[in-house]
Amino acid sequence: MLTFYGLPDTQAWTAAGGPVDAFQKLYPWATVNYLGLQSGDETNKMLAELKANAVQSDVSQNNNAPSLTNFAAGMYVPFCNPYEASAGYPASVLAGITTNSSATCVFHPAFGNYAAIAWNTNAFPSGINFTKWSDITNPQFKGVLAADKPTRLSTFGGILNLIGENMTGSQWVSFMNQFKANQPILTASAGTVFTDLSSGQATVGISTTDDLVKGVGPGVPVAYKWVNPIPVLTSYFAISKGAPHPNTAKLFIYFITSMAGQTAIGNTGRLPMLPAAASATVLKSIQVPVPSNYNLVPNPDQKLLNNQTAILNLYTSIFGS
Amino acid sequence: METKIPAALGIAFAAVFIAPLLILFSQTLSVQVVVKALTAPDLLPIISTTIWPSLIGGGIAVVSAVLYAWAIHRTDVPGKKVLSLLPLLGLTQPSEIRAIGLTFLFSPRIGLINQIFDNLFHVRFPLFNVFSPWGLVLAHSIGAFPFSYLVVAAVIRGMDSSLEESARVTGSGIFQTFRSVTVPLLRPALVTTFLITLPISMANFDYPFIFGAASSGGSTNTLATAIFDSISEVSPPDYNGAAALSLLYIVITFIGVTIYILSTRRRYRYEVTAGGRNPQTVYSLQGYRWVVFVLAIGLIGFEFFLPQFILTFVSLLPAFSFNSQTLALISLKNYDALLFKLPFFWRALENSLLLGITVGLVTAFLGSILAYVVVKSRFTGAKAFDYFNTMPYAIPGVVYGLAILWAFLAVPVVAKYLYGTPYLLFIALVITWVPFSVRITAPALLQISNESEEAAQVAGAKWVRIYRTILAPLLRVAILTSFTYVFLDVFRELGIVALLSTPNSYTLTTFIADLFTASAGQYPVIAATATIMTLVAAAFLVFASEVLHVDLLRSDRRT
Repeated sequence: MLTFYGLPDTQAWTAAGGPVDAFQKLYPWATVNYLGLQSGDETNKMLAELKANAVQSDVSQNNNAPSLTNFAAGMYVPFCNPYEASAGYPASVLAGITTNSSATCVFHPAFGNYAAIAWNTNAFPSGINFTKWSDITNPQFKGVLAADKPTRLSTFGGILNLIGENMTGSQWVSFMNQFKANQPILTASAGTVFTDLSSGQATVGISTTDDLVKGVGPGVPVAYKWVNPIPVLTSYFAISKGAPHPNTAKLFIYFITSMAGQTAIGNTGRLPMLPAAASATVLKSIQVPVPSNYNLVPNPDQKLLNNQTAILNLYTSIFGS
Repeated sequence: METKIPAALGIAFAAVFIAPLLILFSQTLSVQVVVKALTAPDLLPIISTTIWPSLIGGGIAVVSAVLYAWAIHRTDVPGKKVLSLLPLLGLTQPSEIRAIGLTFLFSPRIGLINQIFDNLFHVRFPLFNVFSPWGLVLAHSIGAFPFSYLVVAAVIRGMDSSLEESARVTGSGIFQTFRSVTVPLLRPALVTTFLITLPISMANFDYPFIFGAASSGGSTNTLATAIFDSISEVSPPDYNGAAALSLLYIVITFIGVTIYILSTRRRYRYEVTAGGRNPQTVYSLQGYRWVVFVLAIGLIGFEFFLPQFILTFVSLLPAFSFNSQTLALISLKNYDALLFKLPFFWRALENSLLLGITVGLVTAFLGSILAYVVVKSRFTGAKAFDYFNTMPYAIPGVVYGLAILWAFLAVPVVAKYLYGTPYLLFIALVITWVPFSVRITAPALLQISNESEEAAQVAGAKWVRIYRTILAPLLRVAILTSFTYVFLDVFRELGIVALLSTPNSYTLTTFIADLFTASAGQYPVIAATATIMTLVAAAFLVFASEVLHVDLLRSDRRT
């Protein structure tokens, strides 16, 4: 048996061809209990379980920033998977959040999420003038541009950090205040951004491949384009401290980081971190191909990871909690 | 009378209910934490947005309920039977779904009503912006109307109309009689209703969350969303801040309940004014019958049918987008996906029904026993039950869910054998909704005289036998009414469920929450799910009315 705390997209993860189904087909004796949880609920639940010595999950998946919080709380154990180093994962993915020596072998690549600029085609039938990420302060987008809350240190939190890479501290603060003055729609998640775009609540938004790949289609008035560099929001798996079935958990990590497991992730519409699996699944059928000369930048990057608290406090002071 | 057993149960229940909060507060609160939370610069606007929309919305709901109930039950308006049942449809809609429906109608940019207004008059401002505190007023007034109507209608139907007849005989007109006689007689019930719905509105998370998620500016931030942010949106979670803000809810609820106790006293609290056995006066509206009928239909149309219509319409589209191609895109694809391609929908529906039925049944019986403590016993702690009875729905579900999670995990036996099972969710929901059941059952219990029990005691019967053979049969209608209410509330519950759910206890509300935050552009599928939820809940209401013979308009009536 394996209990897996993952994304609140239970349908996709447990559907035929998805990771749970593929793992159970390979190992019929292993029943997988999948529980989809919001990021915050997962942290709360796992923290409470760990404290009470009643851990339920064997493996969990979370985005990069919450994973760090969970790691700092002692929720994970390391497991060195020798396959990962030679499988063909980009160095930046493996380096990810493992440069901290105590985090070595803790995080295992799950999937990535490319960020793009999207717009509602009813509002902008001819497209939008948006060529660099700093265009988010364009007064043309006042009150209509949606992004997930920076304080979540997720998609948009990382993009802001990326923009600040080439600025001094005061320039960066000034830029963020300018963006705030543009009255952005700050949503609870990147998924909500797409929902708002498709409904017209927002007419421009920062959306991700998770939503663009599955959501854009006939009758849905959303289009998108890539902006160089492309922020890649990374997600990882980890084995829980006190996991009731640690050996099955390790077996799952072997599987999910293999080509078979990454392909199964691609079947959910999410972008596998293994490039070969990504090319064979999501990138093969994506509506707008990713330009080969565009840079893929891990999000969050090392600066954000090393200064998480300070950056979070800065975002909170400007955008509120 | 012997009340040791119910009193012991009452104390046990109070302890079980309070314990999670005590554990949460003991691990999070300190003077510094409370001072820091209460001196936060944005706290006052958040408190203001929490309180005044709830006050005004609740007031509008109660006033509307009184006028509607009086028109239906005391005049010769046509279609009385249908009109008397239509408000119950509002009970079938979860508040998160209602919020989405109001967004589709009154979003300043894409709301259908605002788009129509703009097309007609070509103005640059919306007719109504639901992403504002006034949007919360609208949502609370609509959300509180069904329950307010039920309470007020029960009282109006039970009123002795002799005082009104006396006024009429002396020459007072219909409306003057209503204003000077009927309303003062209803005052205790109106105060009760208002003070029950007020904490529910203030603790509501769905309206400010849904409205705030789609707007810029944060003008709908309330204590509930601030607490949610502290627990679930900030990394690491700020449990201290969340607990400190929860204290505010407890203080506000304490003040509200105290006002309620002082203003209504025990003899007014549940009493139906007179026995309701004499035929009531029905006023003739003459030429205004159909005018009142249209107004009544209009009120229900606005309160329930309009949001439901837009939800159902969106469920037939690939996305919420109105243009010249919209009608050509109508199809049943979302229902096809929901019913045949998303297996979790059926599991969620099954779990929601199972939870609703089991929690409803247990809560109904437990509530009737605890109501006995409140109404019949001279147990000195009985008055404190009025506070316990209000707490569960006065505290945001996300806080109480966290408190229960910590409390359950703190008990080794529970952590080892019950945690991770659906039974824990069941227990949590029972604890949360029993006080509500007490409030529903107590009025009926008040009307049972003590003679039967005393006679049984003299004959040697113990309390358990008295309850089983005398009280429970007499309370059948009230117990079934309580079961119906709790079923509908559990069916719509999300806050407690989110943290305690397991892979095997996936419910419809968590299914919708999944769709809302995780998957792209899922509004149409959410709308399809909401439409089916409403149909199922409405079918249950019909079942309760026709098969169980539950008269939701008269829970105080005995069999």
